[in-house]
Amino acid sequence: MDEQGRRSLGAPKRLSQGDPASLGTQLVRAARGEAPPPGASGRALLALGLGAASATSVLAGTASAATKGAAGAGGLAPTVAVATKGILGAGLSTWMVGGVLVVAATGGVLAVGASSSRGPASSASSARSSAPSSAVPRVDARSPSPTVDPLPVTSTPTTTDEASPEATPRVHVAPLVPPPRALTSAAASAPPASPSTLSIEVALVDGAREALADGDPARALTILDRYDREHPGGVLAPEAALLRARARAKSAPTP
Amino acid sequence: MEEVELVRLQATPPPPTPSATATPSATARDDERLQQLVTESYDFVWRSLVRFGVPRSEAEDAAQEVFLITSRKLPSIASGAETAFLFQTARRVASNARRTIRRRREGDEPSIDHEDPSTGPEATLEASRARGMMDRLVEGLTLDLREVFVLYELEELTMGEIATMLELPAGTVASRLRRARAQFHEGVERLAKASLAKEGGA
Repeated sequence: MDEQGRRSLGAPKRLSQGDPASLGTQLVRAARGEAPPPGASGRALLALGLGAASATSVLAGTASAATKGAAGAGGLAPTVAVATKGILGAGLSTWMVGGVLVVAATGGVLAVGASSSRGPASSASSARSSAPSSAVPRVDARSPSPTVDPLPVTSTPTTTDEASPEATPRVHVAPLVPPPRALTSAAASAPPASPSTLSIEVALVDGAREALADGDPARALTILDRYDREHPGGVLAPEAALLRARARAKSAPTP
Repeated sequence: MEEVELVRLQATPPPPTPSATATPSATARDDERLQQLVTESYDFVWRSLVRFGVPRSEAEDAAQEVFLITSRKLPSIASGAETAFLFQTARRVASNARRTIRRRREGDEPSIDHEDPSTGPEATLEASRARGMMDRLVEGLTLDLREVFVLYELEELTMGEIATMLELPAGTVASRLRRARAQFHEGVERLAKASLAKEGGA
């Protein structure tokens, strides 16, 4: 609602718009500018198993040829989806560097290279959870799980049900074959991004792309701002820059 | 040395999930919706938790709890009611966190400093101090007043949005905001006087 609409409802002027010298205004402004620690939302996505899902969708958008080729090895595509969604999508994206995803498949056995010892479980939040090492469960079975009372609103949930950890197979990833040399030299020379970081990057870039597709460049720019803040010099920085340019072009007023 | 293990992934259906009855496309839509919620509303949820008494050092875990609950309830959350759901859930999770903290204090376990600064680059000493003062002021408001104050002054929602979100008449929102602001100003005055007295005594 704009200022005029706000006033028409008799809403008072916000404290943040008060006298800058006033202590109350300063306190409100300081509180308004507060943000969570960098990467927190990405870690939440991973804990929910969504970083992996996003990686899969980006994979479909940017490296579909690579996936289709791998799927040709024998019905692998659904397997990849299962693996990435509930288990270790971060591992899958390990080889997705500069928009190229490499999946190694040999006779129905899929192996994904984990090029870094820092797995999803090494992130701050995952480390605090009871999740098994290197696995990101779809449902975080943290314990103790606080009991939450039923909410009073309509669509309101009760939250007393226990997290039911899925029977997610324990999966560790290891390369059956070393990363192919087909990777670009830039990818080879760049420091390896950890699976968790890369999945977060993918999730953010994917979110920005979806916002653009939805015709919402402002939302895309917000997400890209977060990307730049949390992943300066990230692996997907070129793609983020491209999306930013598109978002700006879309949000620019037409002459 | 990194643990190495080979995994044979077979083309089998995924293991049963809580939403096993949902169709794959519905699950995908839910995932997409949840991802969008996390991406767009994480900061709001995190701040709401902090403003309802969750120490910053524990707010990330609490935020994950909120989104975990949301993921379970997503099919029952009406489109457009997501922010209200997140806010109410954050309040409930924060309420539990406060109880846990009280128990921790009663049990003489180490308590968490409520003013612990965030680890972001903006967490300067001055900002941290200001946030600590703000925490105390907001903490002094009753929960009913606090939620209206937080949503209007800090999240900058409109009165109408707050009324819808909290399912309150507009007049109730306005009167709560009025009372909250009055109490906030009183608290600011007390802080200012205390600060002056401290300077004078120094």
